[in-house]
Amino acid sequence: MARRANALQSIRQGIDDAPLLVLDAGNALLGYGTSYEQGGALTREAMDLMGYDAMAVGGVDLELGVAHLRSVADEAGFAVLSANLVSRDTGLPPFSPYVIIQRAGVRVGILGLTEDTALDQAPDAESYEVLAYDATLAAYIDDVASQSDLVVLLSHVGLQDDKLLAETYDAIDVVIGGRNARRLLAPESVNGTPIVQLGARGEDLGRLEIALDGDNRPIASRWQVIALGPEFADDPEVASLVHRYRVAAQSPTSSTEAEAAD
Amino acid sequence: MRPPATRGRGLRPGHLALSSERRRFGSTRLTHSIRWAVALSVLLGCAALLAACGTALTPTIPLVADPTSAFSATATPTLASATPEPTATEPPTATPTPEGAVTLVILHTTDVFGQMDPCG
Repeated sequence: MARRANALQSIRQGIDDAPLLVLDAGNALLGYGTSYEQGGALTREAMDLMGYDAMAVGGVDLELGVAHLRSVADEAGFAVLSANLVSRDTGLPPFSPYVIIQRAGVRVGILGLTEDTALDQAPDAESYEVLAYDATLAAYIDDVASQSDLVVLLSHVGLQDDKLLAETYDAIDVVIGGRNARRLLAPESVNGTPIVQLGARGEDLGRLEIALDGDNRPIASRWQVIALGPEFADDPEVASLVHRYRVAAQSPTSSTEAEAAD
Repeated sequence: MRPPATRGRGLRPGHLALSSERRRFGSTRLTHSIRWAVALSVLLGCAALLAACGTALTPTIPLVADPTSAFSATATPTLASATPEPTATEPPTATPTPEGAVTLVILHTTDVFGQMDPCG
């Protein structure tokens, strides 16, 4: 995590004023050890420090419940997205379906999708349901595209379905995927749409560059996978954050918030 | 006047040198084999270390652009190296873009599972 922060900071400095987005395709907040025990507060705070703009909801993010993730999302400085996770009572999504982010005059529409098994471990699963990917995109894609120069599908549904969706919906310009935990060696290209996906556990950082013409339409792209090896030093601020949470987790009076250790 | 076919035959330096090299190669073939075996072992050892660290040796692989689309894509996976590079985050070569165009950079992750210490 601290390595990733350092890599992100280095890249930010290296690209000067070029427009930049930092995204996660899901299963970011919960999972291992302290991150799970602290209810995702550590990861959320670290992602804020790293300047994430948006993440998609994955099944692991829901293991403490939809309501819990909703409370974490309320504290986050980035958008938590899922267009197809909805309340059974209201039919409304508890998270934003999409977000439009403007960078250097470029309007980027980012639409989140969650996998169909995402509620399997959620304690409040009976109150929610995951809608079909295709029907969800059909409901939202025109709305997103009409407000955007570039449409990014931030997807945790898996590569196979990502390909089908890219084939079906011309309005999707890029798919940034997750779920398979398998790093692609090169982008898949379906219907002219690049689909990228990294491996798991934060061992890689993907760098996708999209060249836009004078009308902000995509004309070319290139993808680079940066292996976060030991050559990246730990970012001191994030390393300190992790240390504080670990101390709090080991304390007999620890709460689920890091403030207990401050 | 000598016939061209026999001119210099057996006297050219190249012939002598070639014969000499062949003799040397024959006498040191075992040494060369051992050197190759040692080099191969070192390479396999490095690869095993990288694999244990969850990274993969991935050569630069260009993606063939979809000929039906103006939106082409290329991939340049980073070659994980046992020796740290001087500039770990050296930006890739700039993609040529038309005048007035911009390049949007998207950095992304997935399935981090709240992992705090990738690879130790």
